Amino acid sequence: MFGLQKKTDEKNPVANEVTYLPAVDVAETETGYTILADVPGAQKDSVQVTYEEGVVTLKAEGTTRSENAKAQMIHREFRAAAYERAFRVGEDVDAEKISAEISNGVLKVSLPKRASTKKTIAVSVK
Amino acid sequence: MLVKAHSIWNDLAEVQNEFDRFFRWGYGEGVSGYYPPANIAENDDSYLVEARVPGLAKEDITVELDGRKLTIRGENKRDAANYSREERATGKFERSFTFKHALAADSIKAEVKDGILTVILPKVEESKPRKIEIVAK
Repeated sequence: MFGLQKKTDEKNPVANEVTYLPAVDVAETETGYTILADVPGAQKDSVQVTYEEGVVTLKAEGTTRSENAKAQMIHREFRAAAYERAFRVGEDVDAEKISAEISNGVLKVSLPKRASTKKTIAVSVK
Repeated sequence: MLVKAHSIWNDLAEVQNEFDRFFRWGYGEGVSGYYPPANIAENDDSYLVEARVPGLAKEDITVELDGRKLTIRGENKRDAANYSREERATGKFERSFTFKHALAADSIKAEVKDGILTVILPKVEESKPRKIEIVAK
């Protein structure tokens, strides 16, 4: 319709679908950062969290039953889509210790800060 | 925030996200202005309603049927913390759907899994479409 066509990219099947930018909350504490991302429909196996050169990328695949059911869709407000969002994180994040968990369609990524490098240097009087 | 845009469809989805965020502002207390997006599918036997309710468990949602009207209520809560970004929905929401066919109230099933609420509403036998035999005389 109207000459609009979905581009198909065989190398990257996700590109053939809609990709949502999930809504996130980002919180900071003394020990680290927490990212909470809404990825309804995604399960543990369909989620991927990667860290590369200071960028944390969250990816997830959602599923729906209404699209698979042998039924006619009479009202649609969302799709079984892929989610993707990337965040640039500071030097203070300890990349080795990043962890992620998913519960009720919310992906929680914990980014602990490195042990403090702050030192107090005693000044001596000569 | 950087994100890879793959195609025009992604751009449209992003525009929709931004609109959603914008319209969530400025509602009165107790009402969040947010309502969960829902899909409705129908076949001869039943309706299937699906709503996106990320972060909500069984005990956070109520599903109620009054005649042909289905109402979904819930509340999104945000833990107290020092947030630098708050985009996820918070507050109470309520949403109703009225169906064309009479529904079998006793056999409605609702479940919530991975942040998606699914409600299956079977139609009552009398309201299902049926074939009428033509009698030849």
